[in-house]
Amino acid sequence: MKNTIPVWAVIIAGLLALAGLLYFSLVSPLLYSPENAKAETRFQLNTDALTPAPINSTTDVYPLMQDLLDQPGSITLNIRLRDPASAQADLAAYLKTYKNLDNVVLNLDMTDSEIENFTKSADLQDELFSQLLNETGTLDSLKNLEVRYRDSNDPDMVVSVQYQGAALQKRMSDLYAKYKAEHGANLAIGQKYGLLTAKYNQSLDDFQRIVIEAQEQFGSGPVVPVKSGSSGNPVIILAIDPDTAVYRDTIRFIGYLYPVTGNNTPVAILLDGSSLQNITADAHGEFTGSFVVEKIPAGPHMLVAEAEGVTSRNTSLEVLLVNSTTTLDAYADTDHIAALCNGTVIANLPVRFAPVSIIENNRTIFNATTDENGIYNVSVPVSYGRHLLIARFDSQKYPVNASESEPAEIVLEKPVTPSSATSPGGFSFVSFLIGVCIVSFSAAGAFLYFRKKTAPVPEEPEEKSSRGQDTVSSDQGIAAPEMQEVLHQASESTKDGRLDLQGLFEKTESEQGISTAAFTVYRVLAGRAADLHHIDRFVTQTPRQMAALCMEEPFGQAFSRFVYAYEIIRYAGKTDPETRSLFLDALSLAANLIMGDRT
Amino acid sequence: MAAVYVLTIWLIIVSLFMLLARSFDLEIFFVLWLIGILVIAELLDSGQVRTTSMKYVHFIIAVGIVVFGAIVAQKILEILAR
Repeated sequence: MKNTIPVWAVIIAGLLALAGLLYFSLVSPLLYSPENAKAETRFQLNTDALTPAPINSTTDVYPLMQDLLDQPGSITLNIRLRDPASAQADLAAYLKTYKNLDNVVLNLDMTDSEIENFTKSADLQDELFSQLLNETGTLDSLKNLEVRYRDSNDPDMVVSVQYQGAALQKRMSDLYAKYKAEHGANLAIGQKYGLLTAKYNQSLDDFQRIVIEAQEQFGSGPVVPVKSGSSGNPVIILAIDPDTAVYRDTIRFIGYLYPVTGNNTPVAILLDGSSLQNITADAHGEFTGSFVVEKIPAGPHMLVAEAEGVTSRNTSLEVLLVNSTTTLDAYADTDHIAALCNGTVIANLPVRFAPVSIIENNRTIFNATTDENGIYNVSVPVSYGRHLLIARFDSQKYPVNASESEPAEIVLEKPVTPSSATSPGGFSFVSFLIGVCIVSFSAAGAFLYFRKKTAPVPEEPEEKSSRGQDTVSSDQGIAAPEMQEVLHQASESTKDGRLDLQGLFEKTESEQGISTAAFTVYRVLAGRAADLHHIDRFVTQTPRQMAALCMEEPFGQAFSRFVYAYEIIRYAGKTDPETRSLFLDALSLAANLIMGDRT
Repeated sequence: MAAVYVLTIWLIIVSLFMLLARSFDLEIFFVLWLIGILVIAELLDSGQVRTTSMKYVHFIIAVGIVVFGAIVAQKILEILAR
């Protein structure tokens, strides 16, 4: 094969490939092998666990629409029963159903249809439910505050709370009006498609009852903000509920600013003089909000609201301590010479983003931090051997008592490698023997392979040749002894430098039989024909192939006839005088034409 | 010469995939090289011609088989040691 690729091109290609490899080695791996990939879920570990995505069709639409009509009933009922956790869960399920339906509508190209309107309305209703849940929380806080301020004989604050309640009641009435409109539209669509609407109707009733409850509580409140203090002086009022809390309790604060100087007046909520939240008051000067007690030390705290240089009265908040529980599970990781430590820190709820110390022998060897679920999972580098580990949560910044886990014991053993198996400390005779056997076996295999592949090519046996496989590999490499003999015989049969093939035939016939004699003269004649016709490795060709290759030559016909007679003797096994005479005639004719003046 | 090019390209492809996966393993690289040279030797070896260069190739392959045996032995011992 002629080389067409120049060496310099190969070198440049190699350098480019090397540069590419260096580039890819610096960036993140594009192919993720099992040892490199960090499986976040079990589906990444086992792709067989993945289930094919469901195929959307029109049959998927109606069940989703039915779900969207059923779920509001549960949401409003839980809000009415003051079960915010369940209501939040229902809202999440509602949102998920809405998104599924939205995807189906997009995939099935159902935009500009009634179902598209239904989906949009569901989105709006989700927002209304969220607002209702929030306002209901505020309503409960206002109820508590009214009772508290009445008990403490603080008429100014009672009237303030009533004003806030009246404003809240108005907002809730507006919410109800919006929901009623959306409800009516979706109800008509649902009924048109034959969907069940009983639960959906119930949601409207529950919504209405919540609004009525607010009206009954605060319907008769003042409709303008109540001035406190001397007339004209700006006033800011802040109230919180509850005023006693533990870790992860939600504190709701409400207040108002008077006089109103404009929309979106910034209000800062300060906890012990430090900024806690920055919010804005609405057009009526009202502001509400909430925060969760997390990284607030236990004890009394003071909350104030600040806006436009005016500060509210101090509002006290008492944060109480709760006990916590810390757990630890530790596993030895011999691959990375580390201890895999994981566990949780739980107070009344998981302690989020909390510091956890991994301790061994009263010494902190690693610092971990919990995630949003109160779980920590770290790999702690340790040495080989036995370790007794403890996880400890101890932070004064949280209203949570310190706690520590039960001790977890791990034993990190040195991995047994073949080198250590044969070392004086861990010698294993069986392992050594197995290794030696395998290596010896492969060495023997390699020797046999090398000997077979480099052995001289044996000449074709006579029996094989007699089946029409007269191919001899003696023209390349080592010449077969038989070929040397033929050439010797041929040289002996020369008459004044001319070959006497007939004499060679008769001599060989008398010594080895007619079949061998025919084979001998065939090879001499075929060799000469191959010379004339420039046929490489003629001995690998069968007589018929040789005849076919020489057909275009002047001696082609005569050589073909000679091959015909040759095959009768060699393959048909005929040795009668007629066949012999036929062979000699063909030999004479072919030899005259092929050998020319050499015969 | 063409065989050298083919073997080089084969090894570049193997290296590329290993680097893309950020997982370069010399043992796997060696075994894939051995497979490549075995395939090339079988395709080049006509059975009728015994060239000196082919003799060297077969010698390299024989040495490779011994090394392969050593790798297999090491892996088996690692498994037994667990």
